[in-house]
Amino acid sequence: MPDEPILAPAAQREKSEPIARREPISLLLLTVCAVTLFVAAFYIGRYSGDFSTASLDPSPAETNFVPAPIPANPVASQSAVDSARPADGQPAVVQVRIRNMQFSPTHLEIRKGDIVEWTNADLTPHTATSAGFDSGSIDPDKSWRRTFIDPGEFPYFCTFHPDMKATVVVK
Amino acid sequence: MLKSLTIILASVALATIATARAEEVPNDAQIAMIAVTADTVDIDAGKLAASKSENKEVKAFAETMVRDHTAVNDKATALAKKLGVTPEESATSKTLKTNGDAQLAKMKGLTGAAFDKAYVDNEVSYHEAVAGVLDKTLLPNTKNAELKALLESARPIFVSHLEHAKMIQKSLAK
Repeated sequence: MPDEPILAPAAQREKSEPIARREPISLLLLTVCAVTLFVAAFYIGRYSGDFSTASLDPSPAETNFVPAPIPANPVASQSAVDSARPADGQPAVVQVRIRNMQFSPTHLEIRKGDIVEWTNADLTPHTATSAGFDSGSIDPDKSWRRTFIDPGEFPYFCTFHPDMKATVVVK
Repeated sequence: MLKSLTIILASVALATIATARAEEVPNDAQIAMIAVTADTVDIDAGKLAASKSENKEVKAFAETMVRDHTAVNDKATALAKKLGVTPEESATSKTLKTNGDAQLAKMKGLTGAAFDKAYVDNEVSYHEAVAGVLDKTLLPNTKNAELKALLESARPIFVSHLEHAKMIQKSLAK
């Protein structure tokens, strides 16, 4: 008799409510899950990253590479050239600097009799070549000079890099 | 219990992905090797084209490739020596070498106009790809200031080569 009140609620519970069954997850199952996740995550992480070599495919059908423009060298202003001119009317030695695959300045105005000195401050050899003159190969850290006696416009370029173009204007 | 388990396993997954990704950023030794390999591949292709091509423009371009990439390589090697950095192989440098060797083998089997086209087409793709690697992977991750400066001054060279190659590609297509 005294047991019945204790048993009755339990019996009632059994009929009306399913008891939440809690089983301890086995350590083995946990380890297997963790290892699988580790391996999957490792491979996903490694092979979906930016440092991929897909862009080195030898025959890409389309490439989206748009080269950012080469930053321009600071251009020597004409007034700077003029103010550097010797006061006694002697010919000036005027600098053209070769750097970042460019001649600087690209447009240079000088007086007849002036000397232009091309200095290669770049990593690779260049030339200053036109119909009327050819420096030949100017190595990095080397220079080449030419005296311009006749007036006129002298477009020139680098024979190694035909996209490198500039002009000397002799007045 | 299930909630804690989920949190633990999710953390493990995230930590693992982060670790795996962290290994992908090249260090300076690997960057130096990538640069040297990229130059060497183009030097080898240029030497072949300079000797084999019968087209004046293509020959001159190939000679420029040899001249320029040798100059950059000499500077890169000298700098690595000065910094006490031993260039180190990576997946990228190995891929560059493998693809370069495959391209060489392919070109050795060609002659005349077919050779010129294959060489120049590849030079366009190659310089685009390498300039991309330079911008996306090498320059952003270089730690040493001198190495970074060298790579930055190499960049206009690659761009100029690309433009030059495209010019020849156009004239060959005529």
